[in-house]
Amino acid sequence: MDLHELQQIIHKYQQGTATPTETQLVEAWLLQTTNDESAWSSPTERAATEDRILTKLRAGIGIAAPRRRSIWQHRLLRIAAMFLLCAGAGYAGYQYRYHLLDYVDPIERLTVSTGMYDIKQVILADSTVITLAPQSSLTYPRKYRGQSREVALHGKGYFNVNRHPGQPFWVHTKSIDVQVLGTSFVVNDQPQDSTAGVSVLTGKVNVRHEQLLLGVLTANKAVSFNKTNGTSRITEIDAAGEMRWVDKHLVFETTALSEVLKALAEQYNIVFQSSTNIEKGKVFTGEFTAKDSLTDILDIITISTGLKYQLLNNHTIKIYR
Amino acid sequence: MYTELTDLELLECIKRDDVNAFEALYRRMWEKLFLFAQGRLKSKADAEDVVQQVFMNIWEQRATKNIVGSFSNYLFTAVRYEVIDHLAVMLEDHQQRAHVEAHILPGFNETLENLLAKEMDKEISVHIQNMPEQMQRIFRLSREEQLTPEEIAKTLAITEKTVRNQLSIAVNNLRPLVKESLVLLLILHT
Repeated sequence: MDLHELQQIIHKYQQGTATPTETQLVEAWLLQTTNDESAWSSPTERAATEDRILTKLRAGIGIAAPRRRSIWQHRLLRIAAMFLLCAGAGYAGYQYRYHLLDYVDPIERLTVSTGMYDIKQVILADSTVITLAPQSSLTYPRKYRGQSREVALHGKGYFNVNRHPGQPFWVHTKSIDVQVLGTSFVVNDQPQDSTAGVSVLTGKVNVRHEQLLLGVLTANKAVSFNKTNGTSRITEIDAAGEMRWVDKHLVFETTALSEVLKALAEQYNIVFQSSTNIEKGKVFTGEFTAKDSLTDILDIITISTGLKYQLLNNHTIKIYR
Repeated sequence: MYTELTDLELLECIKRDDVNAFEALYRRMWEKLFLFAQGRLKSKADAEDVVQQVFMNIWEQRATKNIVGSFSNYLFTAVRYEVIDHLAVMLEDHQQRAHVEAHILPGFNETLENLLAKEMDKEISVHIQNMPEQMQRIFRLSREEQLTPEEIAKTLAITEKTVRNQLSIAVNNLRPLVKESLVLLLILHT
């Protein structure tokens, strides 16, 4: 907690708008036992203090005691203080403090998920770019606070982490934790797979399971962690080859045509006029990038499945033999 | 004569504008309040201001305020209110902010840590009670007795690997419950 946050909490406490935790904090602070509760350097100091306050009191009573400040002035200062809070001056306390602060004043966390066949890009507050493979999800803070940047991944993602010296980036999955400064790499931890892995394209990556360091990986190295027996293996890989999916948009591999159309309908917000009779028994394998237009995609799919299509209007497409 | 009166009797005199009764009350109570304020604001000058304000309020409100119950309870409620009010004023003053940051803020953070630790202890113990029996025993030996996995294995006559596995599962289950770094603080040696 820093000075701004203390100010905010005190302000809310005075206004009666503090949360129960904040109220508890202020009251616990007030009721703490302090160890310097009898600290006079001499009896003279004590007597001098007693008389000094009394003199001020007598003066105050005599001249009908002005309050220390006028209300509007006070309020202006408060508004100014609020603006200061909104401006959000950075404060580099040590990391532990931020966890405490996260407890009192949590930062909103956002989640992005992909469906069966689509690939999505997420850009974080620090300009780190993450590409999510199908059937994956990423949970990340709306903004960063403190010294570490942390995200949680389910499934597979390609990370291109923007370098921030002194602010490591963490990826947590169910079985591994990955720590980097600024690199690009793929993390893969699918619930149905018995292994989880990290492959590195550039830079240096630390991979851990719990607190155990599985390896420090450099470019074209990968680690595979066996979730059942806890062993791990580092191998040489062709990282560029493993990242081919990254600039893709939709990926199908012997996928039933009905599924392909469903994915397209969802992705492009369109409706297909088709029938199970037409779709039955047909599968499609192919990848599309974000640059491919819907008509390009429809051309390729219909040609390879021996079908035709017709645009009925902006959002309805008829599929026929 | 005033030293023999009770607090409430003094208050009765103060209600009738008796300045001497007011001063007697001040001399009786000021030090406790001063030390309370000084202990929190870590500044004698600010503690003086707080005490002055508390007694000023008593004088100003002597005609309207009816104090029920213990007068010293009332005074401590008043001094707590004034300490917070004074802290808010200090936080708005450019020069005083440095003092707050150096001397008052650390106490707040310490209080926060204590509260949080207590809160998490509570949550964790509920969670531990719901663990399977064996895992619970291993976890307690690790956390409460501070035994290493090797020692736990010997104590329970099981393999060290089982101990490590069980601890790892236990920690994993706790993870969503509390902030990771804090779990690690509690269970550093797994």
